[in-house]
Amino acid sequence: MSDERAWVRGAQRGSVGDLESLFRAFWPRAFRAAYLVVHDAAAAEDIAQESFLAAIRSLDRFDRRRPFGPWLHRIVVNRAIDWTRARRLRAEAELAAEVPAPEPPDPDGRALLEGLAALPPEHRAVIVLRHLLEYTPGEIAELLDLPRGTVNSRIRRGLDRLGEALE
Amino acid sequence: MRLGRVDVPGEHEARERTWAVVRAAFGEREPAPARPRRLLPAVALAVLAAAVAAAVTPPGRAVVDRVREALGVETAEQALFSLPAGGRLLVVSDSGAWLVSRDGSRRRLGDYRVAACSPFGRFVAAARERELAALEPDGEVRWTLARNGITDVAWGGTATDTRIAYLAGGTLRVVAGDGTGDHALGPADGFRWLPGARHRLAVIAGRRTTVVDADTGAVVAREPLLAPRSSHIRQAGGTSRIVVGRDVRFEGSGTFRDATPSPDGRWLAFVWPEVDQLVFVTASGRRELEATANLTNQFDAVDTPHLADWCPAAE
Repeated sequence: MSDERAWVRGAQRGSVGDLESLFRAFWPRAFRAAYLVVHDAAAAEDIAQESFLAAIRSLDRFDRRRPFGPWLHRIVVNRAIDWTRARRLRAEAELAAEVPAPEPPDPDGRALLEGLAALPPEHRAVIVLRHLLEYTPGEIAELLDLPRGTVNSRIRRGLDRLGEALE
Repeated sequence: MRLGRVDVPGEHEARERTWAVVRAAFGEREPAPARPRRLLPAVALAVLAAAVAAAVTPPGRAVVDRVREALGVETAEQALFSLPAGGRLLVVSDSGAWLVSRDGSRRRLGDYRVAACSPFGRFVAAARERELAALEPDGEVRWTLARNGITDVAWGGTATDTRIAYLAGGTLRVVAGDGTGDHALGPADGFRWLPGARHRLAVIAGRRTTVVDADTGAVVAREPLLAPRSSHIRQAGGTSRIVVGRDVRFEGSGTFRDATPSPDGRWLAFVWPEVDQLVFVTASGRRELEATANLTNQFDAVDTPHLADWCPAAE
């Protein structure tokens, strides 16, 4: 946390080095979270990139007392949900034929991804926030502006369906 | 759960591409200036004189405000980064209805033209050309009702028993919060929910205002004291004022609209179309001012968006 605050402070003062430290500390999880929700590496790259650019644009006004991660992850996950919903409205079959998704080499990872892909995007998002980014249900509720009960039920239902898919 | 170890194709390359873009954007950013950088000399002198006057007298404060506010709130942010109070803003633009969270993140709910929050901020009622819908704050549709020509909607009631009133084709109709029991109350030009547990509406029709029981349609009273929605806006001679009681909280050239109190009552938000700004001013006590510019662009609109509601934080 102290590193994070120092990096934010340094970046606010114009330090490229501190910005790079912030970027390298937070980008991997932001990208991974986006990928696990959208299941499209190019889209995940765009989402993570846009989220960091949004951070740069508002860096001068960022309150250093607040943690950077939750703020960034909120943008990432909400954009990822929006992207997934928008994609559902388009012709998925045509897109899939044009842009085949590369398969991960790890068979277990592939099964996990396929299980996640079968979940509604809102359930994917809470699973990713809980089990990749390790937020508590209360924190997820705050991040996504959802009642805590809704978060709990989405996690439970998501894990149940994921468990069935992995069996 | 091994989500952290799932292979993501092209992660390293994506990271380096993104870093190049982020670094370039960082190099081009302009840190928020402490004061305007290129004021014309005459304007600079006026601002300086006004600042000196303001330091001495309350009327001087007003001089500063006039200089500053003639062209919009000078300190306006270029984007809506945060709200000054809790809850969510419901904005309707010609690109649809949007919910803005406290941290400034926006979510487009859909192609809706009118919208209102439920009394406790847990849902949104929204309408488009041929449909009334109840939505979750994330845009998920709970139910819809096919209706033509909906021009206004408001959600009232208690936590356990709510009603949605809406104007469709010049007829005031009411439906329960769960989408059941839709019925017409009669012709109307406007309406407003009255506070209290009983479902009562103040209804404007022609030159008459009556209080109507929303469930039975029975007229309960005539000519109530009905405050219009923008009761905090006064306009005269090309100048608009935000007024709370007798206290002028803000003044500027042009027109203000959609004055909307925050759920805690501490702030008022309003739209200033001439300068394309959304402005927040404290409703009492020490005057604080926040504003965001480029309102039209921020909501992907052609015309200036409307502020439909400031929803309470959902419980």
